[in-house]
Amino acid sequence: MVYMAVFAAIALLEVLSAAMVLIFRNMLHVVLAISALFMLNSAVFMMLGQPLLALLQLFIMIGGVSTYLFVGVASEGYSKFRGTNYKLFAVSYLVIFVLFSLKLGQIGLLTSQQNVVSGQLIAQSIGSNIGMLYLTVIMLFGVGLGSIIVMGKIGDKK
Amino acid sequence: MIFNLFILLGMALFAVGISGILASRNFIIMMLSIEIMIISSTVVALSVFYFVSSGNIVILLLVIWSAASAEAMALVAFYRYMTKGQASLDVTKLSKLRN
Repeated sequence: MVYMAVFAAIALLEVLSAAMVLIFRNMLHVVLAISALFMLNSAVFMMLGQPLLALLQLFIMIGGVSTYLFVGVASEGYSKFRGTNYKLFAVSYLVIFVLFSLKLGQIGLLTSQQNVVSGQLIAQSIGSNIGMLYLTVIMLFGVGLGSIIVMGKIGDKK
Repeated sequence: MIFNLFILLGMALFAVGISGILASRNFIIMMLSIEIMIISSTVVALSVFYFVSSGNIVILLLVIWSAASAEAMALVAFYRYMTKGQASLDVTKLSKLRN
């Protein structure tokens, strides 16, 4: 039952963010929507028992979306993004980051088990540490987006 | 059944991608719609592999191919922007490339 509820929430948000890709007119908002789509899709991959594909979805697709971000923003011009509420975006990003940190900070980064032959400690599968990797991806994407916004502000001043 | 819900999610995403292709004239939005369609096909294939049979190497290829297509199409748009000096991404103006 919990599985169904989580799946329903993720699927609803995923279809909503896919629709937002077509509804938004600001290219920055479009890229944010498709980034949310990729993250939710990686969560769907996790629900289907494929943590490696979820990681690939996160890292490769967010790399591709960053390329879209640079191309889109560069082609449209920074002056078209004056309507973006950066303060609201920053506050919501911080709230999401703190919520993720509070939940995921209790998880150990590497839980090890002992090899019965050599006695050496070996790491378990990446599935147990997927939370920290999600947190890392969110941090990296936020830092990249923030640097682009700062670049736009500097470019506007010139 | 949960399998039907996964298929329904894939179909909904595919419909959004199709409507994006048909309704939009912006090149980047069209490419993002193709990405959404690839994602939907990945979800459908992965759910079939999870619920019906086993295997995931094809899905791995799909994910890598979609990422490669995203960056290649972005490169094409950026190349066109740099060579022609046009800020517009309207695909109905692509005929100017013949000049």
